[in-house]
Amino acid sequence: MKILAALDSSSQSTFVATEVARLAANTWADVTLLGIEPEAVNTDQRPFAKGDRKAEDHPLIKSLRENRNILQNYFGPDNSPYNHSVVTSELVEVENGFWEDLQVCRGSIKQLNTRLRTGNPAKAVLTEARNSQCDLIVLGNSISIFGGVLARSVKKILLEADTSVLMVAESKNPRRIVACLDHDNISQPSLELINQMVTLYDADLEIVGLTTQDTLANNVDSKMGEIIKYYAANKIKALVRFVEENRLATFAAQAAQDNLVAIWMGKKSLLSRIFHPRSVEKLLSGTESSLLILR
Amino acid sequence: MIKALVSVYPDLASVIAMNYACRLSKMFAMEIQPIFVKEPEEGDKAPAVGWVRQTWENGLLDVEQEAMNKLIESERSVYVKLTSLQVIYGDRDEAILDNLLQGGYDLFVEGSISRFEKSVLLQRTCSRLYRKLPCSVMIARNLIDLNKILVIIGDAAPASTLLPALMKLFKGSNVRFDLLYSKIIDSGPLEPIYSEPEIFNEADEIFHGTGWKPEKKLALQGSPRDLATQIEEYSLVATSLPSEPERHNGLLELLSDTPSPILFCRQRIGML
Amino acid sequence: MSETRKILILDDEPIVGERLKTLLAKDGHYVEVFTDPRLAIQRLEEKTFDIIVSDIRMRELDGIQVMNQVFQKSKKTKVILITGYATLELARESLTKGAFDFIAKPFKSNEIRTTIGRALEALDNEESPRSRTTSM
Repeated sequence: MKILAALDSSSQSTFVATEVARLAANTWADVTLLGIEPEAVNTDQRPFAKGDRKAEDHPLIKSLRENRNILQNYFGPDNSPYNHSVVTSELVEVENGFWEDLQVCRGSIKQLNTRLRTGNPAKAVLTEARNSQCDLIVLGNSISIFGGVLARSVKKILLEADTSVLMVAESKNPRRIVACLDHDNISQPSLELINQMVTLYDADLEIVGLTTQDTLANNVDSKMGEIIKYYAANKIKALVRFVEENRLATFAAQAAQDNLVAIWMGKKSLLSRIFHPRSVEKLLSGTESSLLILR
Repeated sequence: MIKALVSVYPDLASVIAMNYACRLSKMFAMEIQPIFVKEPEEGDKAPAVGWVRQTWENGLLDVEQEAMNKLIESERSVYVKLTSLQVIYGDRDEAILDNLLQGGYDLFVEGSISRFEKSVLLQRTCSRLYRKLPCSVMIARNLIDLNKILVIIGDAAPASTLLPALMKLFKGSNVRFDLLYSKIIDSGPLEPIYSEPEIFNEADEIFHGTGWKPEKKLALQGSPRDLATQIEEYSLVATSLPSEPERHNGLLELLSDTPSPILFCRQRIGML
Repeated sequence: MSETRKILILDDEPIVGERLKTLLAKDGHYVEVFTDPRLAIQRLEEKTFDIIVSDIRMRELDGIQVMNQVFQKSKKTKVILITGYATLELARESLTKGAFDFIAKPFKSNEIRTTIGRALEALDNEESPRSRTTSM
């Protein structure tokens, strides 16, 4: 799994890093911490220049380094998959008949990258997500990171990312993962991400089926039957609930108060029609909890 | 042995109902009779009478019956005391009621998926079938392992009728359970009721000498939603079927919000 | 090295094996896919594979048990464990017991391809000590 954590220099970004560390500790994911510096009004004022020692004092760089430490320290000294602590000698053939014995510091099983992008925050996150081919973007929810550079970009990132997005709330463990799925087209990676969240938070799972005028589509019944039997066989408490299509947005806003609501919004998703931008805005403004958009 | 009638239909709720009933049969001796009632649809006009009509009805039933036989066979591989599917053509509730009355059943099981819309449970409990039920009814809503029951007692769920019916059903099962006396309010915080309600003493008297004892006795006051959250870890909620459910019934609202299966206990008519 | 490498994929979700088989076969590897761990173990008795990609949580037998069986026959085989229910303890246990890597689902094809590439490189290094890069 590859995780992209979108961070800014606000102090709140440390809780996003902590949440990423939790997720990374379970999944041993490759992690990229992406710092965002908003677009400079004057293009001459580049925030960082090559070899600029003052860049060290830049709040974003300080914050990113702090966040990287949070992640590395989360594992303890000997258990981090990101540690480059193993120094080995490697004999490298530089050219034909010419060898060099190099001391190299390898040993990290997984990658931990720290990157910076300037410019429009939402665009920067979406570009990095595409380039890094990440499986999950993690960012703080707009209430928790209020005032930070990313706060105003949360909605755009949620709606426009090609990949799944986890918007995390500060220090709140969800009791339940409420998964609003469109059972016809739900992607395998989305189901896998739900399973990881259930494991991470040791939470119950509630699968929400959509009904239209009290009726489920024919094949939805059998698909949901398969899903719940799968979870029962895997000893995961999976509950089922039906919600009328026209009440889903209201249901999700209510469920999001105590739970992690996961909404499947892939390209073929029926839910992306129900959760039009205004509904998402309502959901974002009303929730202090985490939200997972699945793709 | 408990005799249970399980209503099935080719849908998810029935998958849950069958599986849940079969799981229960591992806890206490239970014989399960699945029943499928095919209701005539609006466009279904019988072409004739007598054997022609019967052939036509049988043709309609074949496809669905095959699906349900598959469902029953998959359960029978694990739970053996499962009799063959009984198929009836007609009004669902009437046919079930007839069978319950004539077959001497102790328990009726049907599936009903939890819904965000609270009115669904209220509508069901107001139905003629529920009002005339001669035995207890189990509404299976989710596949949850039966670990611990919450028994809700109160003015609308008197200990004197609820508890004997519950003890009869779960006889010999060693099931763990807690008692809850709740005062349901429209809004306000969830809080304990400090003075022990009289109904707990009544319950103690009923349990005396039976080997039944609640692990905990809870007395709580709160809104339906808060109470539902508080009790959602229980794998079954047992109470009495409200005799005349009103439009705003706090207990039914609470039960609508819980994901657990619900058992409305009623002593079998003729066995009082 | 250009020789065809033999890879066995084991996951009780058929879709995972199918996806990986298409991808790895395109890269020129010989791939066999199993959804039943018992059948995979039988096959491992008959044939030695260079790389095993196995799910951890399966009904009959878990991926760590499969890995133990693999190592009884061939210590050289690289085992990559994948899981949809990852925990820190599981990751540690996997690697302590000799897994080459631990990958949580979901993953993109490039991630597994890179890991398999690293495993192949490790195999090459172990098999031909006079190759370009050698550990000392």
